[in-house]
Parts: sequence; C-alpha cells; structure tokens
Amino acid sequence: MTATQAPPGSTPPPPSKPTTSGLRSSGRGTGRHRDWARERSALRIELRMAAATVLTTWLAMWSWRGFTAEPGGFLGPLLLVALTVGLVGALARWRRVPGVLVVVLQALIGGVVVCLQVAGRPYPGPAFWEAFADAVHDANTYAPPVPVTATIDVVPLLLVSGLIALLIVDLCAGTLRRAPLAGLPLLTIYSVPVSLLGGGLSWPLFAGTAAGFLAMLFFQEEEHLTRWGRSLDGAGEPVRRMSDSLRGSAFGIGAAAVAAAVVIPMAIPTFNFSIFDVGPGGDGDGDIQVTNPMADLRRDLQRGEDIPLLTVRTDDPMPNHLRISVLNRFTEREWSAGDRSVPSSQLAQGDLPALAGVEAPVAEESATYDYQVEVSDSFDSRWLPTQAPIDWIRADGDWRFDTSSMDFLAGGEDQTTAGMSYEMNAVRLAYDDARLLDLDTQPAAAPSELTTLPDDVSKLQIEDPSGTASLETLTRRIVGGTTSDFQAAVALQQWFRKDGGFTYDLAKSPPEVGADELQAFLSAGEGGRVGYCEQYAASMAVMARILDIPSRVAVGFLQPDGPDVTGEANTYVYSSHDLHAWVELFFPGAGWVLFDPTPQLRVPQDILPTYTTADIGSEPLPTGTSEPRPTREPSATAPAPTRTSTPATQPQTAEPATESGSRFPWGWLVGVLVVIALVALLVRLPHVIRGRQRARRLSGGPEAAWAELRASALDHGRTWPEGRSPRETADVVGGWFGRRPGAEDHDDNERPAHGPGVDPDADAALARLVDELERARYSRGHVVEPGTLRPDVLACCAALSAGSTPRARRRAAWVPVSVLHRQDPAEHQSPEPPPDSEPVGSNARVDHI
Amino acid sequence: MREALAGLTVRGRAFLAAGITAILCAILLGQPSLIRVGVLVVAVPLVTALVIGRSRYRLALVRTVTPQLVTAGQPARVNLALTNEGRTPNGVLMLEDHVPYVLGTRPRFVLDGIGHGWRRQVTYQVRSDVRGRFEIGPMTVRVGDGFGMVELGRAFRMTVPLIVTPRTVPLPVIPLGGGWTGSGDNRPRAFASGSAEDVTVREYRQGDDLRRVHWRSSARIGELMVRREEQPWQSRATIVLDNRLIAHRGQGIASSLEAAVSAAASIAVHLSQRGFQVRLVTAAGEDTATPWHVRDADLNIRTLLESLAVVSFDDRDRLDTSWMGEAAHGGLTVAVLGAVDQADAPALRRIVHHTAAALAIALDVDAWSGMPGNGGAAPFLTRSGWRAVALAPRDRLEAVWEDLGRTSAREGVGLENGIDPAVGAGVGS
Repeated sequence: MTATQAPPGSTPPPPSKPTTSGLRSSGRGTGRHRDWARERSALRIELRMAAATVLTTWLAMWSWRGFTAEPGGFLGPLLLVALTVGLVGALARWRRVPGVLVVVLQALIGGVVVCLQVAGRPYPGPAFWEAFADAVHDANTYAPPVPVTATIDVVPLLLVSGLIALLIVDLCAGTLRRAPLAGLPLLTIYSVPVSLLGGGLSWPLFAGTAAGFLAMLFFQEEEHLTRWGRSLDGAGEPVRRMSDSLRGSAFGIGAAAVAAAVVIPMAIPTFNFSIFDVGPGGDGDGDIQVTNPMADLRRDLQRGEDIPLLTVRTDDPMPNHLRISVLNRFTEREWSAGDRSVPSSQLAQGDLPALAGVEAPVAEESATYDYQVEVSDSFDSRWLPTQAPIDWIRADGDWRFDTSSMDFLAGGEDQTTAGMSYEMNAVRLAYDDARLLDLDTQPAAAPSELTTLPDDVSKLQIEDPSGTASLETLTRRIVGGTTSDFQAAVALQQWFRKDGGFTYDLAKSPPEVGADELQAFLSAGEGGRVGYCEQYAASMAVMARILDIPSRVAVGFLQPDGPDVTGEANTYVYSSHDLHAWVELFFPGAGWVLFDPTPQLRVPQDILPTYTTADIGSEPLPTGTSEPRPTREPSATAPAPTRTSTPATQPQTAEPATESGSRFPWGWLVGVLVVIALVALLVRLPHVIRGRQRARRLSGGPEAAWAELRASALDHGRTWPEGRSPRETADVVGGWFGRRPGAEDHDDNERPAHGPGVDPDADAALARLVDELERARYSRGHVVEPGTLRPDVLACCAALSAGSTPRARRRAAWVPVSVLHRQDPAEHQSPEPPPDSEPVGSNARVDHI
Repeated sequence: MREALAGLTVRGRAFLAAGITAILCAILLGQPSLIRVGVLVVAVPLVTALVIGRSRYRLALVRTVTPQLVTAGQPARVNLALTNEGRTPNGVLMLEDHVPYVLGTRPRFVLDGIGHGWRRQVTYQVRSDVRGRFEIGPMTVRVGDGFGMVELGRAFRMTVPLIVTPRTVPLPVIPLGGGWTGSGDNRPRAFASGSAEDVTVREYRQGDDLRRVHWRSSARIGELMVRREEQPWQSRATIVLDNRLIAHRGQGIASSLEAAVSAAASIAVHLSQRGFQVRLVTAAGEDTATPWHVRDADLNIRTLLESLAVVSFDDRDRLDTSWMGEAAHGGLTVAVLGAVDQADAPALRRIVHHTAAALAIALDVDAWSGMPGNGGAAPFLTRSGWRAVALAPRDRLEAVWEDLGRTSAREGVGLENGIDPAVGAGVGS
C-alpha cells in the first residue's frame, strides 16, 4: 500500500508505522527516544538559525570599524556578546519560552556581558554610565576614526549599539521567524557607516554578510517547508531536512546573487549629487553657510543684506585676506576643495607644523600676531576661518587640518563654526621682495593635484585684441617680458588688475567657473572680461598652472571693518560682503604666496602685498606681441636654464592642432558609432536567430516543417491552436491565408482579405503538409526526404504573411515572438508510455501535470 | 521564466522593489556601497525565478478512494500513487490534496529532490460525520524555492467523489400490513403470467429464443425486445421523505431533516433487506435515480442511499404528488414527515388512498427547535388514515419502529371496536 522506506538515517525509524494512521500522529508506544529525537532536531534548528543570525550581524558590524582607530577593541567583545545573545535566544526558544520573555532574557544576559566588558561589573553601575556618557561625548566630538587613548574611547557606545542591533536582528529572524525582516536592521547596521564614513565593507566582508543573510532566509524557509507538510519518503514522517538537491540549488542561487552583488556594482556609475552641490535649505533665515566655499561665496556676496559674521581682536594692523578654505582641484566644471587628509592626530590644538616651503631665514624673521576670533551664530561653516599662514591655534571641538592645504575642516558631522570662538597666531612672513622676484618654481614642488589641468584647457581659444590664440599662447604672451616664475605671476596679476581690460561686476559675471566660462571670461569682446573675484582667482590659478606654477584658489574674507567702524581698538568685523577669493601660488623658499588678481574696484592697491605690485620689467605689454625677452619667448634659441624644454615645444605642437580645427571629437564619434552598431545588432538579433531556426527547420522533416509553420503563425500574432490534430489545426490556419502578392498588387491593404480559398495554391500546400505530417505521425514506415517540404512551407508562410495586417508583418520581421516561445515539450514527446501495471482500483485514473 | 516571474511571492516582489529602489537611490546619491545591497536584493528573486522557471517536471498521479460509498462516521481510504515522469525539479514541490474540510485536514506533502522515475504511494484516511457527496481533489502542486521567493502553482485536474450516506440503524421486523400480509412473512412472490398488458419486455440478448420476440414493443422502441416469460412479484415499497424547508426545524447537522434522512435510510435498508423494491420519493417527487427496477437489491439500496446522501432542503410549499399516477398500485408506503398542516391534508389523504398500507413516522419537529415536543403530526396523520408514530430527538428509531408495528395491530383492534384511530395512535415521545 503505502511505500514504506527507510527514513533518513539521522533519526531512528519508528518500528512500525501503521499506514492507516493517516494524518493523525500515532505510535504512542514507540516511546521517548522519538520525542528526544524530535527535541534534539528542534534544538539543532534553533541553534543553526541563531548562529546564522548573530554571526551575520556581527559580520555586518565590521562596517563599524571605521568609527574607531582600533576596531579590534569592539569586534572581539561584540563577538562574545553576539554568541551569548544567540545561545540564550536559541535555548529559550527551544524551551518554548514566550517571545517577549526571550527578548528580555537576551537583553538581560547580553547586557550583563556588555557591562562586564565595559566596567568589569555585571550590572550597569556608575562606572558603566560614566564610560558610556564619555563614549557618547567622544563620538559627538571626534570624527571617525576616533582615536583610542586613555581618555577617548567610544567602544562602550559601540558595544551597546551592537547589543541593541543584535537584539533587534535576532528578534526579527529568531523570535518572530521573519528572516527577511531582519534585512532591515542589517541594512541599517551596514549603511550607517556608509553614510557617515562614506565607505562600506570591503567586498569579502560584504559577501560574507550577504551569504549569512541568505543562509538565514534559507533556514527559515526550510523550517517553513518542513512544517508545511510531511515527506512522502518517510511514510508520513515529518520532513527532517531538505534534500541535497534543494540545498544545492539554493546554494547556487545564493552564490550567483552574491557574485552579482559583488561584480555588477563595479559597472554601475554613480552620480554624486550631494558632495558639493547641496545648497543650504533656507536662504531667508539670515544664516551664512559655507559648505562648498566657492558655491556659497557668490550667493553670500549677492545677498543684499550685509551680515556681520566674525569679530576678531588682533594686534595685526592689516588683518586682510582671512582665509576660510582653499580649492585645490580644477576639473572642467569647477574648482573644488579636492582631497583632504585629516587624521585624528591633526587636531587644531596647539602648535602647528612648520610652514611648508618657507626658508628658515624668512620664517625666523616673520612677525606673529595674536587673533581672537568670535564667530556669530549666523556663520555656519564647516571650515574654520584662519589667517594663512598661522603657527598656533586653539579651537575647541573636532577641527582638523590638512598639512598640505593648512585649512581647518570640521571632523564631526554636525559641527560648524556657528557661535564658536577660538584663538590663533598668524604669521606675517618677512619677505624680501627682491629675492622673491627672482624665484622660480617647478611643478614637482607640490602635489600633482595642485598642478594638473584638464586636457584641452590650455587649448581654449581666447579672443584678445592682439588676435585669437590658445590660452597657453596668450598666457605666455602676457608673461613674455619676465625672467622668473615669480615675475610671471606678478605679470599675470597685473594683467588681470590693470592691463587686460577687465571689469569687476558681480551681477554680470558668469555663473560658473568651468572651462567654458573661463573661455568666455577671458575673451575680450561682447560680455567678456567681466566678472568678480571668483572668475579672477580661478582664471589666474589656471594660467599659473599653465606656466607650471603650483596654484590654488583661496576663499575667505577680504577686508574687515576696522576699529573706525566697530569703535573698539584692535577689533575688526568681517561681514558677508567681505567674502572674497584669491590665489595662492607656491614657490620653494617662500611657501604659498598670496596673489589677488581682482581689479582695483574691489581690491584696493594698498591692501595688496607689496611684492605683487612690484615693477617687473620693461615691457609689461598686455598683448605681449613680440617683446623678446629671450628667456620668456618660446621660440627663443636659448631657453632659460631653469625651464625645461617642454614649454618651448608645447606651443608648436599645440598650434597646428588648433589652427587646423582638428578639435573634432573623434573619440566621441567612434563611441557613438559603436553604440549604434551595438543597438543595431541587438535589434536584429531576434531576426537573425529566427532566420537560423527557419533554415534549420526547412531542411528537416514534416515535424520541423510543422514547427516552422507554427512559429510563423506566432510571429504574425496568431494564436496557434495547441493540442489539436493537424487537420483541425490546418482548418484554422487556412483561415489566415491571404493572397500572395502576384498578379495584382495589393500589398498595402490595411486589412487584407484572408480565409480559405483566397489563395488556392497555399491551401493545397497546406493540405500536402498536413498529409505528410499525418503520415509521418500515424503511419508506419513513412519516410519523408528532409527538405522536400520546403516549398510548401514557404508558400504557407508567404500566404500567412499576405493574410496579415502590415503591422503584424512588420512585427513578424522585427520582433519574431516565436523566438521567445519555447515549444511546449509535451507536445512533441512521443506519447507517454502508460505507467507500469499498477494495482489501481476501478475508479483510478492517471492525471498529469 | 515569465511564468516564474509572475509566480514571485510577496517576499520576492518586495525584494525586487526594495532592491531597485536601493539601486536607484544609490546611483543618484552616489553611494556605491549601497548598490551592492540593491543588486543582491534584486538578484536573489531574479536568479531564483530563472532557476525555478527552468524546472521541467512531469508528475503523474493515480488516485483511488476505497470504498467510494461509506456510511457517515466510517473511514474511507484515499490512495495516491505519484510518479515523476520528467526531470528532477529545481525546487521543492508542495503538494496539497484539496479535501473538503468536513472530511478532515488537507493532507500536505513536501517533495524534494525527486528524480526521474521516482514513484511513491501514500494512503490517508478521510472520514465524515456528515452525509453528502464530496469531491476529493484535485491535488495542487506548488513549486517553491529555498528562499521563499517564487511559488509556481499548478493543479491536477482529477477529482474522485466520495459519497457519505446517512447513518442507518438496524430495525426490528414488524408487521407492515399492505396487501400481502397473509403469510406473516412478507416475501416477494411470483406473479402469474397475465394478460397482454401484463407483459413486460426487455432488450434482446444473445441466446434469446426468437419466438419470444415481442414484435409490437420492438416496433415501437426500434430494437429487438423479448417477452419476459415470468415476472416475479415485487413487494414494492415507497419511502416518502418530506424535505421541505417549512417542515423542518434546526440547522445543519442538528436539524430535524438529518434525523428524517437517517430514519428514511434505516427504513430503506430494512425494507430492502426484507425483500422490498424500495423507491425514494421526496417533496420534489420521485427520485429519478431510484425508480422501481428489477435489479439487485444491494445495487438498488446503494443508489437509494446515494440519493439520500445528497438530499437537502426543498423550498416548495406543497408535497409533490405527481409520482402517484392515475391508478392505485398498492404497495407499501412509509412516510417520514416533518411538520404538516391542513394544506398538506389532501396530499396525505391521497397517499393513503393510493397505497395499500401507509405508515408514517412524524418527527416532533418542535423538539428540534428547543421547544417542548407535542407529538408532532402523528395524531393528525392517524386521523387521516395513516398508521403513524412520532419521533422525538432522543427517541431510538428501533423503538419507534417497533411502536409503529404495534400501532398497526392496535389500530386494527381499535377500528373493530369503533374507537377513533387517533387514540390508538397516540404513541410518541
């Protein structure tokens, strides 16, 4: 009767399982060891699930490593917490403790472990709370990774968060038995550091976490399935475990999904809409926000109201050019702050490293001024305004500096300057102007970020009264009469301020500082050479880089209202209309030197450093036509020894390119062509596949010919009558036939006549086809030469096409749907052999699916 | 693949939606590490659908139910023979046999990793305390996967009926009256070969003597018919079951109709055992499945029980009497009646006149609705010429049946002595 077969070896088989017991459990006498086996199995299931849950959670918590400088400090204890929580949960659920109690138990015992780790006592005593509060404070104060010192330790916070996360994940996956739900807390664990730190798990860890999550899903589903019904193999035994085939397929699916998750993202581009373009929310609340210095600068300047932002007490007689930040990186689109390296060791607390690139004599003779800065509540900046350079600073909070740019960046996420006050020592370097003017520089003196330009910027065509030339040519013309890099820089500034014919106008300035705007700004003529500090600074920095001088754009305050306005001695007020941008160029020996190319209207001559206004030579001609200071002239026979030969050759290589107008985007064209080719290939792919299928079928026997007819009908949007005899099918198909275009041409008929008898030839061909098919199917020994039916099939297909609307015909040609339809395998199988003799009753019938 | 995508579960769809959202957000917000999560969450249901959609399995099911006719409360066994004639399915097959809930829980089986040629038999029991006709099956098959992302449903088409007949109780032999009470034991007797009108015919069978061909019938029917030489007398009995809604009280299994059906079934079995040809008449008229036929008594009673198994309430107001025909035919009539009123009197009186002996069991239907019983329609029936007893919910049918037998005896005495039959029929609860 019932197939009795040995149950899986892991569980002892019941001695005798009466088949009549049906669905009711029986076998009471088989005793205790069965119960014990069941219990053991239940415990195994619980433990398995709990282990998968907590280990997955723990793996996901590896993404928190970035929060602290010593990740081992919390990962180890967290593993212990995780195992405890998992074990407690598994045992409690095994003993069928109510769900609420399970969570409470886990929280209690997990809490004890955490307390032991944090404060050495199994309960949250004062020491624990103190450590916890300190950790919270540290986490708020310092940006990740938070250093681990005697006083700074965020591990208690991480441990408590980890415990809570573990409890939630285990509640979802274990107690509630909703493994998919556990994905949400896991995602939170994973994505919190992604959003705070900007980086995720490394891919092996991610793959591990993903595999763990999938394992949780599988365990839960397996449990669900085993409870869903009983196995047919074990004579009514409940299913103990799924077969290896299912496990294998689940493993395969999981592996494929994880692999896809690791590989595919590399091919997906991301568009960063958030880093520097997120403007402040409210413009009308009177707050000044400096997040992206350049973008905010313009908005703040254009604001009608002049809001006081900083109050500075200093003994510096000229507290001009108070810098907020520098922009290092120039892309085609904009100047941006670039990368900063701000490890937690570089806090704005105390002495700062020696000034980069400044010769010892200059540094020693410099004067220092004490600055006490108070920031108003309405100045919301993630950068700390400081003088440049400074040698000492004390600012509370997590302010960090980059050793190269020496600007100060908020470490904490929500940290801004609003309302804070701090002190610093500004250094006024005692430059010897004469020495400065002889300085040369080389690109290697600074990081490549400070010297690189996007391609093609130097080839921008600039209109100039002296004639249109590339930006590089123009630049070299401007600095033509100078003998050193420093003089070239001075020449550039003078060109912007005086000689170039520039006008300062904030309202008419172009909105951006990308390459295109640069071109428009520098070109003389209608609408050109009008701008404000941003354009001046950006353009001069670009031109300096063309001359291989490391350059960066500084953003800050230009000139405060002095004591005459504030009424207090040594007190200055910087307001929003003082925001400004200028240029810093690097010269070995002098360090970063300030230049300000913005015209007189905005920047008076008297607040400029004296070296920038020095007389630099005989011929500061703006047009720089042909004044041959041999050292600066590219075509000179004897280049200056300090210059490499590259600049000399560059114009020669660049000029022909510009003149021949060969800036045609060949790469673009090739790319577009390739894409078009690919698209065309994709579009024609179904057609090609269909063509090959047709060729194969046409050379086959009657079945193949019939299949081709079916495919053709499907292509034309007809519904093939499945499961009918060939003759019945032919009756239907014959009704679709139209007259093939021959003697009279009626190809463009919207609704061509179709039906039996419209095309007698096709009907005859169809009849022959059916006849051959029936003979092949039902008669014995009928052999049809492969390929002989080709004309008949072609005639039928043509008639089908003629009987269809033009739309259906187009569809058949371009989107042959039969390619997608898999032939129903049952249809062409030989009739199923009847099941072997079975002791079936009189009312038994065989049913198939 | 398309089928598999359509078969995505809520979980699968949620994963897909969440994943796509995550990917889009990650792309727009520039969080490449979230793309991974999105891709993972999208890939799991898609890959699963791909794998499950490629399953090519073919199951054959042979279902047997033995016996197909059971009395209420008796178990029947359903035997399933499953064969996998296709390839190994990629997922788990979840089989659920759709058994009416009255018959017990639906058996569910989990098949997993079955290869080609895999074959199993499984037997389970069904049992119903409620009479009726139940379709066992069809069996549905769902293909699931290890992550619960996809569930493809298919179903076998075949169902097997199981007929659960009313419970019957063995009844004692009582004198039934009617036209053949002379010998004490009422048994079928041969009926003498009569006139031409009495001739009954049957189809020609191979081996029949050509001389017995009844040409007139053959001409009328269109095929050869032969005379039957002898026709055994039939003791014919008609069981009238009043299944009108207005005649009964109570609902479902606790209604008085169930008691009436059960009583009718017991009487039918009893009479059949005593050699009667029994037919069933309900308020809707003669049951077409159980006319008087010459056939095996077992077969006959089986059909009758099947009819009784599916008897349900009838909405009509009056008993249909068209089954009685023109002439009185004699025979025994046993009526199982609910509440009757004056409007039913003509029909009841006609039955009395129509038959040789009219016995009635009148259910005290008010007792079924919780009110105190009042003897039901028994006195009324007795006055109409029936031999009637009342049946209350707690009465045992055997005892009531025996009372019915005694009634007949006393009734005869009562009539001779000029006593009103109603007095003699005052038997009941």
